[in-house]
Amino acid sequence: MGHPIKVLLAKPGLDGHSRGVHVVNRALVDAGMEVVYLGLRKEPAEIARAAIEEDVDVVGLSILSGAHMQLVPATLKALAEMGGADIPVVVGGVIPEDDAEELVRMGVAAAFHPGDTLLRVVEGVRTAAARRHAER
Amino acid sequence: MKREVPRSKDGRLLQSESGIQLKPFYEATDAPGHSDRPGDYPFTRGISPDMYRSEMWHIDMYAGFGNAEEARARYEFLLEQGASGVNIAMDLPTQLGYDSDHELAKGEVGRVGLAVDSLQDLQDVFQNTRLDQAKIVFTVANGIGPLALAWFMTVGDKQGVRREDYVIHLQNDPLKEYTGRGAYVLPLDPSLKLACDVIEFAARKGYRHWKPVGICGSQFRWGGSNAVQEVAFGLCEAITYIETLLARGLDVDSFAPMLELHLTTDIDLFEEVAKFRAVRRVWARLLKERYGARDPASCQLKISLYTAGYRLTKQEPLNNSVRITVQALAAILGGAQHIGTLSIDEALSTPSEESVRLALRTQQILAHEARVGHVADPLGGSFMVESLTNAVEEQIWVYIKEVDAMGGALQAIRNGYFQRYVDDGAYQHEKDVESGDRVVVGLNRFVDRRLIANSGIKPFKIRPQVEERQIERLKALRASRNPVEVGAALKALRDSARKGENVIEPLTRAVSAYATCGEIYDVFREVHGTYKDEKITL
Repeated sequence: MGHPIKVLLAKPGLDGHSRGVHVVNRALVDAGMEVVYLGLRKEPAEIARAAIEEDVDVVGLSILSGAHMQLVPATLKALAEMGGADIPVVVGGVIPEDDAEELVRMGVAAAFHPGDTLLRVVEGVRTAAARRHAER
Repeated sequence: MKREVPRSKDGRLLQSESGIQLKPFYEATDAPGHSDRPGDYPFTRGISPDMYRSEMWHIDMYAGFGNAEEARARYEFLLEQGASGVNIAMDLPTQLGYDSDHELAKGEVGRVGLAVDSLQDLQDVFQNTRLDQAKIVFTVANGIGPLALAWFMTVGDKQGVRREDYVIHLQNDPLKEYTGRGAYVLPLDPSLKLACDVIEFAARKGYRHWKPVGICGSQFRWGGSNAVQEVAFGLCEAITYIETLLARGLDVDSFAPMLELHLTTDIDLFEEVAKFRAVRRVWARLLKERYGARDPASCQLKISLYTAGYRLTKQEPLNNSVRITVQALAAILGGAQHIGTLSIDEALSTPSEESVRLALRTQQILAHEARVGHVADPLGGSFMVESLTNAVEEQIWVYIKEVDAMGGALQAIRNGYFQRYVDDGAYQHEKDVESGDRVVVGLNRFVDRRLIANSGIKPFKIRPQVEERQIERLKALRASRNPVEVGAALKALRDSARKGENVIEPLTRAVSAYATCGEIYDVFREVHGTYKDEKITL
């Protein structure tokens, strides 16, 4: 894979706390990746459409409001419906352990938590991107 | 390039949280000439001579989730256990002016706070509590300040309680939403206008005991800036509110006594105390020297705050109790008027009853067992604290000058000035944690590897039926209203908004007719556009 990994970051739903996603954005860029930050208050369909149009390798969702069990599956569904089922999705925010496990079972590539290092997040994104290319 | 910061023999970086280098000890020559007293201009040492002896700080516990019944139970529990009022966290759809059945509300109803679709929900919350029993009702309502005011006033009016007999305490600061909190509804200028409608209404009615606005420095800090930037940027936004109100022809002394700053309190004890002292001093000088305030009350900065949540860890959550205690202590020693302590499980979920009780007890133990509120400004005269206060003050003025030069806080928001400091700070913080330069006990040092992720604390979860039930209530409400009355009230509101008048009176009539949150804010969105119309540099 010759080109830099391209990541779409977005905050679905109504939560507007952007510190985490801004920090992850910088860390991914510092690690040599290309990042498209869609911003706040994005609907799952908007995120899916942008991910496909931008031809990203990974989608990253940041949710701190507790609405992840609604928003993440909705985004996975939207991606699948638009032909982007092979784009891995990673999530971060305030996500209890058991919900994180459930999300992974539903198809999320990785779930990150407060306290995870940026290195861990970068590696997780790299792994997800690599898996996608291996499967293509 | 990071300058070389001296370290102790065991590796601790010898600087304050915001990077002020710390001397091994301080002495009289480090803190020349401050012999003023609490209650004397410029109020560095506190806004009154006897501080907590005559007015105890308010124990402000932000709470709420689900529907009215669940929230009511939590508020009644908190009041019973000693909280100073009812502090209502509202869910995101409500904060953003959407009804619970709005497309965007899916999955969000009742999560980060109580779902309020109309006056009815709040009447249900206060079903067993008169507002004069609650004494203080607080909510953030930054994007929906005027609506929150109208809601509380109408609850009180319908209960037959006089407006003199309770305090409405609102954050009502939409400007700060644009940097890091993201709960904005309208573009900047109409947001500012509506927030000022609330303050003007309270000022003209003479409700001087009310707190119609809490201008925030807090979310800059929570977003990643340091302590100095927190207060400096908060003051810059305060300047914008003050000047907007003055432009309406109000006398500064008619509203300034009601203003407060909403800050945070963090764990670097001495820097935090210095910060609170410095911000009081700068506020007093601004109000007197720049705005000509004559009433001492205008120059006495009221401070409301929460302990800083970013300081808490998911790992070893019991450690958070220690952190919250030190943060609360800083706030008390710093002379704050309203203190909200977070709960130890904040990084996991909405707090459980046990953990919120501990947060409450923390303040009560500090007040009644540790006796730290018995004396005003007990750290006054400490060479270190006086020196740090001067250092923080000096830096605050530098930021204020910079923002003044670019045309004020609205400009600073639009050109990303605040956001850059916030993001730089957040990123540096994270890198410092990962390099170990910033120690986080239980996370990157002094870690018990035997512990698994949750450490046994069960995250509090709201009931899944909350959204469904709220939507049913909303349907029932809409069916029970007088549609003609609602329609007429919304039309009157729209006309008033279009004319640029103060909207509080027509808004209150719409609220009384049980117009919903979404219906009311649809009117404002129609007249003023939305936040999407605002061009902000990120």
